[in-house]
Amino acid sequence: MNLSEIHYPRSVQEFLALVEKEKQLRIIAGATTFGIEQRTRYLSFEPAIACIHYIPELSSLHKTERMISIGAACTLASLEHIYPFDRAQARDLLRSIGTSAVRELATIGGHIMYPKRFLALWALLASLDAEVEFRSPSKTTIKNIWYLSDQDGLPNVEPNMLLSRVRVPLQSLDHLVIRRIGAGIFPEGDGGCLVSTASIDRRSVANFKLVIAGARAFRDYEAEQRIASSPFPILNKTIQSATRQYSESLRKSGFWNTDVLLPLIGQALQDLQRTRI
Amino acid sequence: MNIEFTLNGTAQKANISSAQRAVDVLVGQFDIHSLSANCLNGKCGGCLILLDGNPVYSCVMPAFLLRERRVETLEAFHKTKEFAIISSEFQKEGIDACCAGENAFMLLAVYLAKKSLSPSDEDIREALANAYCDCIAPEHYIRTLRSAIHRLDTVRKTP
Repeated sequence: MNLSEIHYPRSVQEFLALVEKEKQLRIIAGATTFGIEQRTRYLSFEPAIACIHYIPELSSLHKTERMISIGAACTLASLEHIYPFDRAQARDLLRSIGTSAVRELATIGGHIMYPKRFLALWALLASLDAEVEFRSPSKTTIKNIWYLSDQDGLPNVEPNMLLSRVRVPLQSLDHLVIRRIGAGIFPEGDGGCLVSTASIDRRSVANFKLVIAGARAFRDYEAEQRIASSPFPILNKTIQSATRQYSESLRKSGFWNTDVLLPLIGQALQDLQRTRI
Repeated sequence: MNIEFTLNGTAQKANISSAQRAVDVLVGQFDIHSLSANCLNGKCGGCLILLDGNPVYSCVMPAFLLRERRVETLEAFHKTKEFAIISSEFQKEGIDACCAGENAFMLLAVYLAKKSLSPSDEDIREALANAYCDCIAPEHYIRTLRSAIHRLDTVRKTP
């Protein structure tokens, strides 16, 4: 049984000082993920634990005219009534994560920073162009969430960087399709999630994104551009051209099952085509 | 290390280590016999507690996260009106969970009754998903809980 030293930083500054001091530090806010991973009676961690649940800045939710800013230690349960989870499909996706007793412990930070795969909400947040704010002793970095995946689409989370906030830009969601793929999406399952979002502005499609995330993350910028620049309602030939592009890029990835995903992408694009504004 | 938290309305001090799960501290140091750690991965509900008023699994929660939190277990409600009415209604209707499910089903019933006098079916199902027991049919549970909450409402309105 390994025993760790437990620290309860009360501010981000205190936490960052701790990061500089402790070389092997485990950051914990909500604990669901490791709770599921660790099946033995006694828990085992790195030599030091930073329990960030007690940092008020990380547990707050702010709404501005342009975005929702979510502290990394906010529980998944606390997100149920805010954008984008005020939409039925997004709320259903949120509620597909464990049970309410799990979501009361699980945090958005733990969800995003899970190192082995992309969990249930990742594709939705990526399709909405969510930004993640990291703090380190020397700097604050803001990145698009997409940059938490590497060139091969694998998770690429940096150790000992504190994810402090997740910012979701507010936009009108005229089209939202969420499809769960395969078996469990949290956290040991082999499934994934396909999310397609768009807003339609003055008879043209704007902000179209289609993200697939599970063991890896997938997105095709060229196909998205073909749709995003087209007038609305979208012509059949545009849909066909984008579908061909998706087919090629899925095959090229050498990872995704094109036979399974292409019909789902086709359905999402048809849904977009039929969107009423 | 020592931590302080509130257990069933009383301030408590516990000596914990990083290796301990919350359920083990609550059972081992505070004799909370309503809890059991059966599955250790948050499925059965035997370890369900109310943490700051909401149901969570204490088996997937490290003990150090109890610090400065408000914990309620079924023991906190044993002498309440809610518990008495729900328990008698459950007995009357033959709602009888096995030992693993007993804590979760009763705690969730009291939680729902305290939260609202007219919980929606969705709220009840959502809460019920936190417990696992083959001995109870969900529809039977929902009907009985509704009837218990109705009785509770009548009792509260009686001068």
